[in-house]
Amino acid sequence: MLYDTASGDTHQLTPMASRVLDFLRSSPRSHEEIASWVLSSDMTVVDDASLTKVDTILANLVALGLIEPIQL
Amino acid sequence: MNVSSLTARDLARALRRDGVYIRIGTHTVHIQSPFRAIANNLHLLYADYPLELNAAFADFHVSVKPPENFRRWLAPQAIFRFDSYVPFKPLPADQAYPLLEWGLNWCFSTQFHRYLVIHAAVLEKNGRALLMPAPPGSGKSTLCAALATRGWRLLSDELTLVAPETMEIIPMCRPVSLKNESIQIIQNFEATVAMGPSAFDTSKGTVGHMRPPTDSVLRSQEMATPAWIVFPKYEAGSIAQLADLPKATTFMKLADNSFNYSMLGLRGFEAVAKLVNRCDCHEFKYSNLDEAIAVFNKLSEE
Repeated sequence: MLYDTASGDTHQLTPMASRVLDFLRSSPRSHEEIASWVLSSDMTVVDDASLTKVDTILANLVALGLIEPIQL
Repeated sequence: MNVSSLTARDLARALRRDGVYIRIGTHTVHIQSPFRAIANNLHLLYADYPLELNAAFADFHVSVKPPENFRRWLAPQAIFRFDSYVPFKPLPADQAYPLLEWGLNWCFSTQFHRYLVIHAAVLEKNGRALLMPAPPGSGKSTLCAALATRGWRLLSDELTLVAPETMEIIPMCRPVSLKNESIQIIQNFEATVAMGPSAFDTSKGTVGHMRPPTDSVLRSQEMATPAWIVFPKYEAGSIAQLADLPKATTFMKLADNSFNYSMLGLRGFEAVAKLVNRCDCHEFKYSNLDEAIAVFNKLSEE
């Protein structure tokens, strides 16, 4: 569960989305770094389908206002 | 002095004049009303509650009175006031007592933001509290009334008040509101319960109130520790059965059933999270009250 103090919204995150957010807490990361870290920690085989899954999570987190894309 | 220290006639007179101060758990409500039905219901249903005629403080000053216009005589009506504010449209005068109870619910649920306020029945056994949040029609109040007649201490049939700092449940023990066939079901289930007269054709159908057990009223300054969150659902023909509910799902359902979760902001989030973390969380289906009570008694002994 996550409470966004900026919006007052409460979110119920999947375990993978939660890991993505945790990973981004310390510093901005590239798309490849996120995919590689999340998928390796999830013991998931890194294939096109799982990469698409990470893309979807990132897009959803952006839509919720929890992360934003920046130029690294 | 308790409400029962006065005769119904003296209580009616006091209500009509300066009003009475009734202690409900840790809170005091000042009530004024000229309606005899309100005096009679309070005399029966609040008999065990501490009463004062002149108190220095009340959390809420409420009244149920007729309008000042022609509706005082023609198709008489009753108006609920909180201070001078009128939160509801007038109702027929024969619904004056349910209007008072609904008005008190409104006061507690819209004003008590020092607590997390959840639309849930709450009872206690062996020091541990059972929270039963549920929407209308789920059989929550019927199950709550039945448990209260079988050794569970009633803290509230409608509103659970949680102190965010201590996570204690604050009792707000008041008469149990029963609707339609639930009134007869509870009278059949426990013949000794005292029920107030039913009000017919209300927005909720027929409404009657069950007098809370004396022990629950006398212990209504005694806090309880939350132990179980159970979402009950009456389903005809079902066997009484608990099913585990994931914590995250429980969190969202509990937040949905809270009156002031959003208003409390981060404090509300943290309170719900603590509550869910320290409780066992279940869904519960039932059709038979004896079976249901056996399940909860077993739970309380684990």
